[in-house]
Amino acid sequence: MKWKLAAVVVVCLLLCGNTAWAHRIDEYLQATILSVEANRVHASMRLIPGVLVAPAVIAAIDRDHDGVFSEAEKRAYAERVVRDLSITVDGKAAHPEPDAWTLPEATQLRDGLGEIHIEYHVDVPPSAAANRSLVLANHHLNDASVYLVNVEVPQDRALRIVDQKRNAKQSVYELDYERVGGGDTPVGARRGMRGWWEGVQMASLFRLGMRHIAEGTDHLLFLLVLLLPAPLLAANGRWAATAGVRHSLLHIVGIVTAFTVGHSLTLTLAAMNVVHVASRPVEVLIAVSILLSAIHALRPIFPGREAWIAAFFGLIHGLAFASTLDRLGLSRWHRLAGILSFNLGIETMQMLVVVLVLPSLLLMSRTRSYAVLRVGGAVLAIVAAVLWIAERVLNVQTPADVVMNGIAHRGLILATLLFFASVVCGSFSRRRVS
Amino acid sequence: MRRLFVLATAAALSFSSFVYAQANRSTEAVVQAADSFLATLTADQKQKVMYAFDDATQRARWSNFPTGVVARGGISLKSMSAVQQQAAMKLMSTVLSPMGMEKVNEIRQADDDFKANGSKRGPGGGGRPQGPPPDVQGGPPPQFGGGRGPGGPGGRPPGGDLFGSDLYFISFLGKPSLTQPWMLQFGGHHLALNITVAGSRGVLTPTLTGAQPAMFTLNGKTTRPVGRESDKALALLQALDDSQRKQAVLSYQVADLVLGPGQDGKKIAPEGLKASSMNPQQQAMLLDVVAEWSGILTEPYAAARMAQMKADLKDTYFAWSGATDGKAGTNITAYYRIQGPHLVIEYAPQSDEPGNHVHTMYRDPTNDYGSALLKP
Repeated sequence: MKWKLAAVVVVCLLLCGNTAWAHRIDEYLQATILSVEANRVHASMRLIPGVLVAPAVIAAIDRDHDGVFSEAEKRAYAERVVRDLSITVDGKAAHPEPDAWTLPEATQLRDGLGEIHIEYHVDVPPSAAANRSLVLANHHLNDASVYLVNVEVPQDRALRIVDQKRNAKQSVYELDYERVGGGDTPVGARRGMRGWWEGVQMASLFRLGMRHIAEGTDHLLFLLVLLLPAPLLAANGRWAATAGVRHSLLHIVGIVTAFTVGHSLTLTLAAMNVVHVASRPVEVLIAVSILLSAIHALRPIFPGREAWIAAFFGLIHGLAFASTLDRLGLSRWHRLAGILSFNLGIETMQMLVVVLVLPSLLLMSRTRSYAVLRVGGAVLAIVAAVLWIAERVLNVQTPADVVMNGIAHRGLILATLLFFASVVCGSFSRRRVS
Repeated sequence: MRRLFVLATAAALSFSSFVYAQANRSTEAVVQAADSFLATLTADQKQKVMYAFDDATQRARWSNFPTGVVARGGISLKSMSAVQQQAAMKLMSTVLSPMGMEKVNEIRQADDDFKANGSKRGPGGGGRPQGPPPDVQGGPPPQFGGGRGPGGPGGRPPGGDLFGSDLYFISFLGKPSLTQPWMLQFGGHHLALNITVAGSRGVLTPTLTGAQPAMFTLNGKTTRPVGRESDKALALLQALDDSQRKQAVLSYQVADLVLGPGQDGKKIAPEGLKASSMNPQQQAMLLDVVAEWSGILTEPYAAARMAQMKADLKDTYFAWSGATDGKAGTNITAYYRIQGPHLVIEYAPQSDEPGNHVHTMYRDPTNDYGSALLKP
């Protein structure tokens, strides 16, 4: 061992005095990351020779020994590397095809720098069985090589990695994966059910629903702005007297319920693929809904019919919720239960927010300073809505998201402040009255 | 009544601005320190140090290699005046925690040690210098290096310019801002900090740390720049029972980082022991290992990241490959990986000098360079 190290050091010094930092000296690192698709497996290979093995690798590439890698030599090397692999799919030999390759200059490789990249794929013939297995054995320059093989989490949610096995060097690698929730065979369907019971995600969808409301500032803003004038009564086209507590409460509950009914309906329909609407117009309409409810908070334009408006725009917000669910790529089966958890999450968060601001609204609406809050909130919402509309129609960048998200992130603190402010205003005005 | 209005409005306004200021305090301080640093630069330096926020090439221009081998963007400490260096380090100590700052400095000191003593590997293991002879080109003393200062990407500098604590580069992508996202990069040999700041949030992924020597004596004190990473993970491994350990210890060798430089955004299938089969004490130990990376950033940023790590804990895996009989206080020669929905940590001893040469990688495949912060 000692003489070997000594030899390594000496040769290294001889070869290039300034590559003592080279991390890989007498090894050829071959690192592969596989990605599994429905009908093929794609592989991305990085090959990195240490300074001591670089001459052998260079010799293998530079067949005419002119010190330059020609395009033909690069292609020939990529083909050789791929030929040195043996791959089986479900026990049958498969033929990897090189797709692309990049090689550094010979001088770089000689200095222990630069990586060779080779991309290849193997076709996976269709099969009735849900369980697939791929074995990859790498025989390329075995004596000097060390190997890494890994697989990416499949983009296709219907595919699931079951197991990976390797020999100690990772030169032989076995990947077992399966198709889940495909539903095209009875086995597949049962497996899909099991996958659902095992894997999914009720809790995570519930959380997602909560997060969606908490972070989807536009939904929340619509609801809050609609609640702003709820404790008030309209008279002569202006917001005037304060309604009684009972009336205000009923009104607020009515609005929230109507919004829920609306978005639950479309969320379900869209998630079950009954209706489908492009997301862009939906996003624009959501911004419009905020604009309208904000104008309404300034001057009553649909007094007494807030619940209907909430229900109507709830339908539109539901379509947007559905597109979030859509992005998760759940199969139809998962969706039914998914919608339930997701919607429960939305409802819970929504109720939390309402419960958080309701006392402040009721308390403050008894005072004249409520006008400040109502007008201020409405103006902020109008500005945000107009910016969002511009963003979504014209595809321009505005600071609306940054600002509104900033506010939403401090929601708890702001709600607390609002509550204190309402208490202060409440007691001030009471003192004045008495 | 009118007075009440004014009062209420004023109170509300000052309250909310106070709240905003509190939450945004760290970013404010960071932006301020960044602006003060930029103000010390000449026009020429400023031009070299600034990149567009969406400059994908500069984003990915980092490596474990010395800067003389893989050129970084930006400007080096070496090319700066004393005042500029001071402002640069002030900026770093604002965006990093004291622990992070210490780690960065120890990594730089290791590079000084390497420059002076070379690799200690070799016949008899006796400190025979085999790094590049420091005196090859003579050259002026490090500071105020005259025309030789590397000012950005360039050719390969002379042999003497490969190592040293001043060969660390700083660069900005986008203008430092309280609201708009921007990036600060700081790195050199065995160090690549990629810090994205977006409003009140700060993200450290992807980041590379490492050291060679990973254990050396500095002013009579044993210094291990990435030593706690070794000790804490070893302690966790030793706290596992036999059946847990069977799951955590992989049956194969892992020769290097799987997701090193250039492997942005890749999400590999996790392996090893799931934290949901750990007891609370073991789970706490796991989080404590993660804190060696997440805690590099200043507290408010780091705290948000740790909260995410806790939320992800059940789906986080711990995998180990190599010798399991290490000793606390010395560096393990084994590879380990911690992987969760938003995390990949790799600790990879390098084969040329396993206990004394380490690369580590800290990633969030869903949030490279803060990409997740930028999505609507």
